[in-house]
Amino acid sequence: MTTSDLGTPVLSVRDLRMSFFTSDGEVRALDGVDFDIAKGRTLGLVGESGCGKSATALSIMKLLPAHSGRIKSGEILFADKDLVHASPKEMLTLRGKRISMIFQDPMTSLNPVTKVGAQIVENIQLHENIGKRDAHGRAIELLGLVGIPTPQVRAGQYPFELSGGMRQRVMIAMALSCGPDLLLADEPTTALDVTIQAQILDLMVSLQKRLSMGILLITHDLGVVANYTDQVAVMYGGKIVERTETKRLFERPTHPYTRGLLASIPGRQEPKSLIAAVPGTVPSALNWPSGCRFRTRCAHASVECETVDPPLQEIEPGHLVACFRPQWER
Amino acid sequence: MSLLEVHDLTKNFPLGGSWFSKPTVLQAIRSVSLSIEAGETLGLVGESGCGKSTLARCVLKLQEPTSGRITFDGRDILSLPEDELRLARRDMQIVFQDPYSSLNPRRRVGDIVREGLDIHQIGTPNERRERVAQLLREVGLKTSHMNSYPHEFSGGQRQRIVIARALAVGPKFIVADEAVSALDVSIQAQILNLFLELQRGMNLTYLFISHNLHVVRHVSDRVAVMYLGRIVELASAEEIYSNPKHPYTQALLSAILPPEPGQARSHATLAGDMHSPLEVPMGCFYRTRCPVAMKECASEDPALRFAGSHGVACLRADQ
Amino acid sequence: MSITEAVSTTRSSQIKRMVSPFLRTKILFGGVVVTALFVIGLLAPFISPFDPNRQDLDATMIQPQWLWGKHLLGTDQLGRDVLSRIFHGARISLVIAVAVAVLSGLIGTTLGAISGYRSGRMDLLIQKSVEVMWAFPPLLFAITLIAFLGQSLHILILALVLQRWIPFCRVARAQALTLRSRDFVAAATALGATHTRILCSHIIPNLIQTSFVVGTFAMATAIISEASLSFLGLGVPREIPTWGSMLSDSRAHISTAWWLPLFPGLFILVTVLGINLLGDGLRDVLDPKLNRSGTRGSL
Repeated sequence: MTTSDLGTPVLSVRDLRMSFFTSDGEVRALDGVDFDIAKGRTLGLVGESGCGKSATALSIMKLLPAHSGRIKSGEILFADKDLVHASPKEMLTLRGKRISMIFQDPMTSLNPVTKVGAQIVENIQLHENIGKRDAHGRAIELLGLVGIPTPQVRAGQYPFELSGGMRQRVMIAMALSCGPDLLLADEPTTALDVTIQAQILDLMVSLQKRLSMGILLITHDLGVVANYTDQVAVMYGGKIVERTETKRLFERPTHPYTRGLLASIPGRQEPKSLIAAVPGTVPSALNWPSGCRFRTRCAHASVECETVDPPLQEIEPGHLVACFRPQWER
Repeated sequence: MSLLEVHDLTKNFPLGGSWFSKPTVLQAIRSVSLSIEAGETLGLVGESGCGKSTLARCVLKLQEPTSGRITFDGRDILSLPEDELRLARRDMQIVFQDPYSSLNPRRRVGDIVREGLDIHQIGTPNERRERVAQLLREVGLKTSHMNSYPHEFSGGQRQRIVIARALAVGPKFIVADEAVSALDVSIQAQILNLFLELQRGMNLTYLFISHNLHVVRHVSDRVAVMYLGRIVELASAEEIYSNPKHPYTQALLSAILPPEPGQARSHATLAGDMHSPLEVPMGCFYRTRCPVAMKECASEDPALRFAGSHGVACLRADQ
Repeated sequence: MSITEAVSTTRSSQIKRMVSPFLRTKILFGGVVVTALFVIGLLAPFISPFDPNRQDLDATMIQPQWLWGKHLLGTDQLGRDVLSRIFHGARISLVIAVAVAVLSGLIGTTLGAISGYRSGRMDLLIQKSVEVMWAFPPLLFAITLIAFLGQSLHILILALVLQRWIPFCRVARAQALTLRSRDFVAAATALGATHTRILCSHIIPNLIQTSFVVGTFAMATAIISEASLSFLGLGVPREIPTWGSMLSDSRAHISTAWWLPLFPGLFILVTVLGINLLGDGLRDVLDPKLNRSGTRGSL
């Protein structure tokens, strides 16, 4: 935990390309992904199923399925190291200590046959030279920090004895047990009730302030993005199609997909009226369309869109869009 | 007379128990009463464990309620003999949440959609084939899809197939049990549109269940809010959102994250987690998390009381 | 569906997975064996050099002549050609294996499906029957039945079927229990389908695949059971040559005529191994529908 300036990049991803090699062919899951995550800041990665957002997190953590996932090219710069070329041993020292990840379903992410406190202790002892007693003490502290009442009692319980919200808190405690610089949160609240969601996200934000860590918040929920991120990158078809400050994205969405996504959210239209939905479905990842991947569903597609894949370009300071026909009107 | 009337419905699930101990009882729904008019959409909103899916299945007698009465189109569903019930089922259908388990993986789409017609012997085989083609077009799919298998389709397309299947028998009433919850936002919008269009074109009546308040608001005329097996508030969609009276509804509304950055949100304090349905508190179920609970709340279980068309189950609301 | 999930469950990827070397060997070997069994059994009368029951007391106990004589695998103590008896034995094995597998499969799968789907009293009744039958030592049960009803091919098949339907029943029931809570079954009920229709259109078609796998194992055990019973003299009547009875007949001559027990034993071994491998391979191909790649969750 350092106290240097907020805003310096903790993670820089440059032109990351990753594919799954399956018996049906090559699935180009990530095709040139670029972003930075700054200290003490949260980058939201938003998109729908199959867009590559979870694949991004797994690539950073080098947790891809061994027999099929492979990073083809690009850089993942973290703490002066390029993780793409990091050895498994090096990754072991980083995971859980300097980069942590929390997942969507706390029930399957926690070991069901080990007590909750013991799981946190395990992570601590893996990375730091502390005795069991001290580690246990720290675990209880952490449980208290994440808002679990009577942490000494809870530490001795099994995951099934806790509610969904509490399990997620335990996951967060475990992820933060060694004070990481970077937290990857993959849909951390999707499986939770709406009334618990806000609690968990507020918790993450307050802990972020304390530890000045960078957070990559992966979600499909634009409400979460609007309220809990500083910057946001919209993904489609394994690429980032728009990236900017969160406020700017909602004020001036320019990529047709972003606009379509925002228009699809129920609650912003006249009740019982037809929603301006994005037509069609996501094309198969085995066979992305030529040129712009979104063109098969885009109302503004032109001939250029069919042949050339639009690069991510700055259309105004701090606002990047990958589109030849960015839409400006409100 | 309403198309559907549910009166004092309760569903208990006995769990475990052995020769040594009495079985514990899970009360999934408790004394639920509601009515839906023809052509209307009643939204049912609540979080996991509140009993909304159980209610959906009981209303269609896919599960046997423990007590209560269900009247559909003037007939008491629960006391109908088997064969009459089967006929009555033509009028009421259901769309489930999971597009992947809703379709038999071993049957072709055409056969799946045609099943209702086969069961009730509607039309000649040729007419049935025609109808299936027509239905597929109506839900936005291609006629050629008839010969494909479910696994060849995406989640959104599968939901369309499920809807086509439900429409085949010409129902008046459809229960949508989290029908769009498993879909991506952009597909969700497409399917919601489909529901709305079909309703207009066929004068359908919906019971629309979801945990997503925005979705419910968008499609419903009236909304019922459920908590731990009871309806705690029932009012027009407009009223629920502009003037929520039950503390739970208020908390639910304030927990929604608006897709607009920088909006000041008032958190109605919601302490702790929802109780397990196995250990409900005495008196009002909600009082342990309620910011305005009074002493009386521990002894009295408030019933749904109406002021005009707005019903609330809360002792505080009367004040 | 997430990318990884989509990737591991497409039909074509299932078929392609069969090409994985280990799997390929299993299915190849098993397939070859089962095909060979069928071919030999079907064509036995045409490809046997001699009548299997023709005794030639001038040509007893001839060692295998391989390719240099008329009796490729030798003769037994009554001068009967071993190879021809092996071929005809294959025929019997085939008949028994298929008959037992098919009959017990039909009975077991149907009862299991009904049991799992309907629950309640029907289930209880069937399950209790299963438990009672299962408690009988299988061979003993067959022996008792044959002792009472006499020896014949039909009785033998009956005796085996009465035991072999149980694994089908168990497996079908377990699957039916899972299937009946699937949404498409509820949807069928909502459409007004009767229980029979649901069983026939929805439940049984979805568990048939596993029954085929159980079927291959049933074939293998049927062959061994028949061999055991024939060995004990309780199998098919003596006029029909079977691998088991050949083994039994060779008991007295083990030390002097090594080829007499070897060939039937070898054929039993290879056949059963082949069938088991085929069943194993089939099961491996079908299983991956559940959680094979290990990574779940969305991408």
